[in-house]
Amino acid sequence: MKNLSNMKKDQGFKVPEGYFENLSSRIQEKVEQEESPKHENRFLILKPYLWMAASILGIGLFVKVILTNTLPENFERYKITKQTAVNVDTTSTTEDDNTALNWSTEDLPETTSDEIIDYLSDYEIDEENLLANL
Amino acid sequence: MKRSDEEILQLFQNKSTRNKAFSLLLNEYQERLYWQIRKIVISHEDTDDVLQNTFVKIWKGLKDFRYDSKLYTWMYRIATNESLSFLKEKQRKFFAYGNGEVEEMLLANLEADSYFDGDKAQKELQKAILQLPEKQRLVFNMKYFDEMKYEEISEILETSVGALKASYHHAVKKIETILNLNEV
Repeated sequence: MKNLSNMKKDQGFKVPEGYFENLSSRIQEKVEQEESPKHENRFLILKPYLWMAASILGIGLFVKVILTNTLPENFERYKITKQTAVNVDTTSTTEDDNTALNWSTEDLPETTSDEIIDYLSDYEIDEENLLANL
Repeated sequence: MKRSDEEILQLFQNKSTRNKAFSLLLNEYQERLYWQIRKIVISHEDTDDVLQNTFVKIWKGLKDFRYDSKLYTWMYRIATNESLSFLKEKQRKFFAYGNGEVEEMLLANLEADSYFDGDKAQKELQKAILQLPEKQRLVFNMKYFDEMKYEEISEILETSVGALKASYHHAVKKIETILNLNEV
């Protein structure tokens, strides 16, 4: 039956040879590093500038996002509106032209070949004159 | 000439003698704190890291030390807290993809530690200690190996003496049970 009171208290751990001899100087070096202004204050010194830079960057990104999402859409709408206006004018012109054309073809009274020959004869328009005016 | 804690603290308050005071403090306590940390984190390399961080914290906190407790008790508490924080952080990295226990990780540390040269009985004892819950493990190490008074342990762990006695009693029983089970 094992009992702790009968066991030796040595834990069996060891350290590298000479470890404790230079431990003090290593720890002091570490403390000096932590305490040196370069190490300790670099971030603290830069902190307000970093905040400022981050804010500017943030605002820039925000504005970019806003412009990307809204301005081009308005710009396109503006372009489309302008184009539509032009198209409307063009369309109306074309429609007028087409209307005139349609009127001239559809609304003409029916004319027979004989009546056309008679008309040409009455006004003495021969074949040569017709071909010359084409 | 050996200086008292009070003398070391007085020297530390003076900027011109601060480094000397810290050097005296290191010479007086580095080894004791090393073993306190080693018993908690097991591996020598880890102990070295934790010990350095502990002394950096001691350096930073010493300017504001107000004798609410003894200097050594205060440093012991820093070392203990640093060790436990270190273990938690290491556990998080060690079990990055799982929920392993600290004890499991410490057992692995013990097996891999090239600076452990204990015999079979010492290894069995360490393994048994590592199976204890964290608080019982701390109390057991302080009482059994360091032979500290319950009042001192109470100050370091901020736990009542009664609770510490109960923890130690349970720890001893568990360890003896584990050792006897392994012997069969």
